[in-house]
Amino acid sequence: MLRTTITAGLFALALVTLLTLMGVFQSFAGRDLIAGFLSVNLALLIVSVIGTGYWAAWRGGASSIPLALAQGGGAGLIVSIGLLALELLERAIDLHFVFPNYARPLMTALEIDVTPLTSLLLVVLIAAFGGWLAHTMPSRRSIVLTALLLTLLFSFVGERLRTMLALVDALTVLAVILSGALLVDALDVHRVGTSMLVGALNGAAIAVAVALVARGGGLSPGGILRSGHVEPVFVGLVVSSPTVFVLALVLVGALGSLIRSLPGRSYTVLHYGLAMILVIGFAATQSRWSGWSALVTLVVFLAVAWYTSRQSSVSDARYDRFDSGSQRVVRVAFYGLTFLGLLTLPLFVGQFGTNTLNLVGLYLLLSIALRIVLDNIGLFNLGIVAFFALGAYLLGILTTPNLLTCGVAVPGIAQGCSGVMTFWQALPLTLIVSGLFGAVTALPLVRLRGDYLAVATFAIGEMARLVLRADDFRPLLGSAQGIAGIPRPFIDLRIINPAWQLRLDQEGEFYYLILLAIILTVMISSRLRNSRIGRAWRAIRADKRAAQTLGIDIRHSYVVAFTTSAALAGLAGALFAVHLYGAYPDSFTFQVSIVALGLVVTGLGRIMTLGIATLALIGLPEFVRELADYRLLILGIALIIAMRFVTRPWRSAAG
Amino acid sequence: MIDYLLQIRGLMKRFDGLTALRWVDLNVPEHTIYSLIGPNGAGKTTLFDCIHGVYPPDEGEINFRGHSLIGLSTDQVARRGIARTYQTVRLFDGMTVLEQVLVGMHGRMRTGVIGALLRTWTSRREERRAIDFARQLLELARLSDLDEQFPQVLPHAAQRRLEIVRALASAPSLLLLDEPAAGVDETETEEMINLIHRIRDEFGVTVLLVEHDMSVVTSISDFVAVLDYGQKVADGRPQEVQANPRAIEAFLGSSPDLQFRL
Amino acid sequence: MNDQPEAPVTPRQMEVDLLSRAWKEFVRNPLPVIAWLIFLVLIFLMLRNLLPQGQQPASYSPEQFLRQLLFGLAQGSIYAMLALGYTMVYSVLSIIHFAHGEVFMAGAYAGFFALSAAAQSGLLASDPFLSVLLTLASGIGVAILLALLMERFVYRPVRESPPVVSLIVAVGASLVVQQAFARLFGATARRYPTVNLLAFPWLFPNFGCDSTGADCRGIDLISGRYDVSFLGFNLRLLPIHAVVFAAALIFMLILWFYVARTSAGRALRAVAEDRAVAVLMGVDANRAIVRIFALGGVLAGAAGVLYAFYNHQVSPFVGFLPGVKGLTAAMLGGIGSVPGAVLGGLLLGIVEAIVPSVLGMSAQLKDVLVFGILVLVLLFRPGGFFREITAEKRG
Repeated sequence: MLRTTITAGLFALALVTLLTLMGVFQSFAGRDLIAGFLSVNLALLIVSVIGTGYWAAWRGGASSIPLALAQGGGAGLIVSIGLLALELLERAIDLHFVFPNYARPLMTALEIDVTPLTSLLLVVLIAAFGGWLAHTMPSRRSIVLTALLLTLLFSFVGERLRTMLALVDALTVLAVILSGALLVDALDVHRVGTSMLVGALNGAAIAVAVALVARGGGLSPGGILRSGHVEPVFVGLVVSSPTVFVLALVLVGALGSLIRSLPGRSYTVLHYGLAMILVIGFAATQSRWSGWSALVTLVVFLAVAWYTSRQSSVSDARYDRFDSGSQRVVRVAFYGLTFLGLLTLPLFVGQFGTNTLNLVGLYLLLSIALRIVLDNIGLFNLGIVAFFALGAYLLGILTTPNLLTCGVAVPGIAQGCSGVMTFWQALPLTLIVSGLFGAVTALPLVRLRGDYLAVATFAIGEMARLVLRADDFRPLLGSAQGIAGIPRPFIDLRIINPAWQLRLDQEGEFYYLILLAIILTVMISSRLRNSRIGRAWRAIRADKRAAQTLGIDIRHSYVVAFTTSAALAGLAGALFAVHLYGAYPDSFTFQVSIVALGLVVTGLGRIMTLGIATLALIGLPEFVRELADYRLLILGIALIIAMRFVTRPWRSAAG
Repeated sequence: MIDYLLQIRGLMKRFDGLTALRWVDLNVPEHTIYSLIGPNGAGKTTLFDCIHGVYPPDEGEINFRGHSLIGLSTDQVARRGIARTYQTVRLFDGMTVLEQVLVGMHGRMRTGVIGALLRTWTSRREERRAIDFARQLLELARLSDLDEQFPQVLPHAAQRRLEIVRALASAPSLLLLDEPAAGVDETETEEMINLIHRIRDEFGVTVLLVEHDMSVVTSISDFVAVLDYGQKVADGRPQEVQANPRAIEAFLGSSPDLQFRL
Repeated sequence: MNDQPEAPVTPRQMEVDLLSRAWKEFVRNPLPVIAWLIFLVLIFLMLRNLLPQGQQPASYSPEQFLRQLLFGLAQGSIYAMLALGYTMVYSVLSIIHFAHGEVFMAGAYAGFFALSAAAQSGLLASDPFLSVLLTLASGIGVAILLALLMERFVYRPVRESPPVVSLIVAVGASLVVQQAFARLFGATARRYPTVNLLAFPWLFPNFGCDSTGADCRGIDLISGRYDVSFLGFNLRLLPIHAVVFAAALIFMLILWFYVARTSAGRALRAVAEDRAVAVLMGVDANRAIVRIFALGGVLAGAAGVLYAFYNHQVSPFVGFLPGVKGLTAAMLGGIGSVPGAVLGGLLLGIVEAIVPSVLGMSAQLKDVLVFGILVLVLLFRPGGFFREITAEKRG
């Protein structure tokens, strides 16, 4: 028993020392988790100490509370002694030549003067708390941990959240959805159509009420609808276009009335989404991300975690009682609400936020493209970046002035010449060429074993990167400078109405193009998956030989999957080039393939989790720049861990 | 001369000096149930593998409806109308019972990428018909209520029946069954025999099967061939073979764990 | 239900025209056509560069060839040492140890710190030979440590999974090590201290003399570069190339002795031949696998230090390309075959040094060539090119 605690403690010490030497506990200088109370650095230290205690107690069995406390505390003691010894060592000799990022964790992170003994005691106490956590019941633990984690995450980006969404907007939407659902419950409505009608009426009523309050001066400064410093975007519509406002609330009400009959997972997801809206709305009323904000966040998430863990099975049961037609309506309602949320997102997150969302969307697009081969057939393509780059460069070459149109070696010099074609003409061509390239690559590759295929695709990706950089192809590909000045697409509908011409050069407008592409890609992916072709893919993944026995041509299936995947990766690349206003060789490294692969593997095969993983690994570091240093480290660790859990479906195809 | 569905002439297959099949001849008439019996390691599964293009035979001919199968890959053989099951259950992980049967219909369906993406009228009609037919087959295997389940939850005998109807879904004219009753208890074996009979009678499919359980073989087969050490030692009607001294010797002499109940 | 599966093939249908048959054959197996195309393009490029063009002399000279050959041999011995690591791990576990390049990088890093410490303490100036030995030793030590950590925490948990899972996990591990090193030791490249190791005055009596010319201490093995006229060729010789080549030979001899002549080596070979049988015979497979990784670490660590001696710098990303090239070399020689790895490494080093200028490609495309070789080997000869020469049986 003592030995497991000591081993766990030493192991934790090794990890914490590694983090210390990397300077993790000093990375977030001046960034507070809770303004004026808890710095991010200190929080990280505390989390790792809690983790130490938790892990030690968990390894040790944690059979009773005192034992768990002792195990956690013991491991904490080892860690703190080790860290203090490191600090003493650092005073004696200069470690900065070897470890340039090292900083003393215990005393500097606390930012208060503490004696070594006090810090030691604190660490032991916190670790003991971690030990206690390991002992509590699993069901309660997951609720607490989920809420804590989300609160930490929200506090982390709290200052950004504060300026997103006005409280009154949040409350209006919540009121419409929740009161609609409650009303449906109270009226004991069991038919989908009726409950949507009730929800719609309820939405209309609330819209009218809000409109009345707004007309009565509620929107003027100091009015009842103006709590907080964020302009209410949504409720603001009452003045500018009341019809849209009422219609939107009617739609939200109609769809939202069904949330209590959603299948379990969707139910949980939606409730968490609503809780987030509430928290963000509340944060807007505060002058900074204060202790109050954190507390409210924690309470809301605790409540939602507890509530959904109890209610999702009830909701599941209701869903199961519907006939298949109604079930489809309920599912559509869920997707509709999600879609409405995504549609209105750029209104709230601002220019920078939208730009980040665009980047996230592009990586999501690439991941979905990769997923077609990986998830369905179980082939690891480590060279997806080749197709991504192909799409980007092809679009760049086709839409920018270059030697094809101007006859000048250096693009952009000759004035007055344009690209070979417009974005809309180039996009389908890009798709087709990427797909063909994918097919040509796949033809010889398909006979390779799983790991050889991965290595071969990796080599192809690297070759693409090197060719793009090479001076040999400068006239066409621009070598290290790449292709600059790729124009944003332009929607010209002046034939119909002289006022209808839309240049998608605002981030908010480009966002919708990416959203459309994602929806299209998801649809392509899921339709293929559930068709004759997708069934053949999945059969191959499960058992190659048995699939062949049923007349499935493996080579043909591989090539089709590779082609689809490459074409969609090319689409992602084309949009990526437009997003960056250019195609540059440094954007297309092996890391892109790895990131996409890591996202798909950690996304555990579902679009929803894939989206969350992409948000966390691509989106979050854009908001918190310090995280960018750790993005690939985290991704690598996640990849290693995730591979242990998700390998089962790949067993036979890879063998 | 009778027109045989499957004709095998002088088949030889060696593995690293070990001769798995030695000059095997086999004539399988249409619409019959033909059993291959023999002790362990007699080359029965090797024979199936040779027919099904897993590896080419060293010598000999395999003709199906008068056309040679030599040199065809497994999926090509399957598309010519020969379906097969394995000694161990090989169902697809992560696919529902209904989907398993739909995979079996792969070679008979035509929907391509375009059809799947656009959900064209023809592809939806094809999918609908395929599902209808798959449900009929599941009905036949008494798995109708389980179509949305994953195969792992099914009992062993049900998994075997599912595998057989999955193979049947490709509308073969010849069905190779490798020990369909292995690990299946007595009442379920009855059911299996019934299923195989119905496959022959209602679907007009010729069945070539490998089986250890002699009670199954005698009650099911129209013809029996006995393999021993890669050689065919006897063939004919079940009663004839039972009376054949070489067949008896093959069983009694080499494999004590098998009972050749006469 | 019982429809005919396929209409019988009539003789007329058999008479498909040649073109469509060729096309079908191409779709079925496009490799020969691709191979011939690549081959023709290479021949064309080579002729263009090797033959004099009218008045102009050929753009590729024999001097260039000799210089590149020597450099290629040194580079190739580094690749050979790395390739041995890939091959040994593969022969035991049948997995591609993709993170091997990071072991190499860790060795170079450890060597850097040891050498810096020696430079600061004055040991480097007073006893350069000992300093170089210490540098090598610390590089090897850290490389072994990292290799063993990887074995324990990266490869062992997925040992029973298919090889591709190990590969992906290794790619993740490679990323983690790179990034962790970048955070730990800084992402910028660091310069190796200059080492002046003068040796062999009896062989080279006129080198390394002080200003009076009285005290001559031989040639500078690490940092020296000498212009030499030899058989009418003007060459610039770098002793470090010879040192690398010799050191690689020594390390490979030690490895060979260990594997072929010791009882521990016999256990390794037994496990490589058939793990299950070896375990039945009482061999501790785990221990053998650990040893294999350690041996790979020894070679990679030494290679890292040697490489850094003539490349003069280390960064967390310095192991990536040599790692991939080591893998290519192992594949070229037939992964799993020890002599193949050595031959493959030397061949790859020479090819990489010579072929780009023979073909008239820019130096930037040198690595494209290597990756191209990797793909081609995987496609055409997944067993490697020296199977017949080395005549080694792999189970």
